Amino acid sequence: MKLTIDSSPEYIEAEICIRCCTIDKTIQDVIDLVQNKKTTLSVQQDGATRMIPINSVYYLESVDDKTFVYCKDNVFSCGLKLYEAEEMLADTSFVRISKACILNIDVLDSVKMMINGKMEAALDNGEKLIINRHYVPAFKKKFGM
Amino acid sequence: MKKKIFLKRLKLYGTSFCISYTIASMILSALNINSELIKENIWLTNIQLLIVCFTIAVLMLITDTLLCREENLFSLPNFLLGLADVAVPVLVMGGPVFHWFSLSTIYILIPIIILFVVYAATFALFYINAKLTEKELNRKIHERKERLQHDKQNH
Repeated sequence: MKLTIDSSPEYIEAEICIRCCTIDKTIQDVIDLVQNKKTTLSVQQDGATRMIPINSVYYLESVDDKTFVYCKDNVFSCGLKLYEAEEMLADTSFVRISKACILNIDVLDSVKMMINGKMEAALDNGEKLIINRHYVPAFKKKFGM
Repeated sequence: MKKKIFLKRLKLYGTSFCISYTIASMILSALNINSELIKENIWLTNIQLLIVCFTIAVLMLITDTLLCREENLFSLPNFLLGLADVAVPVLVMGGPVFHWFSLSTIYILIPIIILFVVYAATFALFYINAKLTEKELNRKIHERKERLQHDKQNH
């Protein structure tokens, strides 16, 4: 990827122009950064606060009014309420799958329809989550169905 | 949320009532050609049909709401309950109330067999639809993973 910076007193307003063949993930990340979209999440572990990239988050779960952030091998707590996290992650790969859980669809391995109308989502770290039947339409919509 | 679910159910069974009454009326009209009794009382028969279809829809709504049977969509109890929701109004109202048929064994058995076949076919359709949805979703998940993998490699 080439980076060209053209700085001159002639330019009154800064402009970022991206020339690309197709908008892939890297380009999209740059666009998100320029547009100030959230790409990190503030979490706490052992009393320390840190920022983690949202694409490393597998799912968020609310337990006893506390929100927990589950990554591949770690679990953090988060100061946000689940609905706040849902709003923040609205235009990302996250989707609400039950009253207490928001899932990152990028970590999905497969899904399975259950006989009671729910779905079982298998993640790529071996975990399984249940998609409540009332959230199945929104889940399918995330995949353009 | 509960209100939303109830309204969804209401919409579903309202639509079912409209569709079932339309189909039943069409069948009645087709059968009307050879039946003298129906020809004379066609308006009365239509009203009776309307009442039976409406009763079925209301019964289904009540059982769904009270027993939350949607939680076990494909289970045998759910299947039998659905069958009862239709069979009971048809047999009770169609037989002793509206005198469409006498309550002999054959007239009870034949509708039950027909209903059983219709319900089995409907459940099979639901099941096949669910499996097709599962297959399509898994295909899209696989495509998405490959696209992400490709993007990561390019990065």
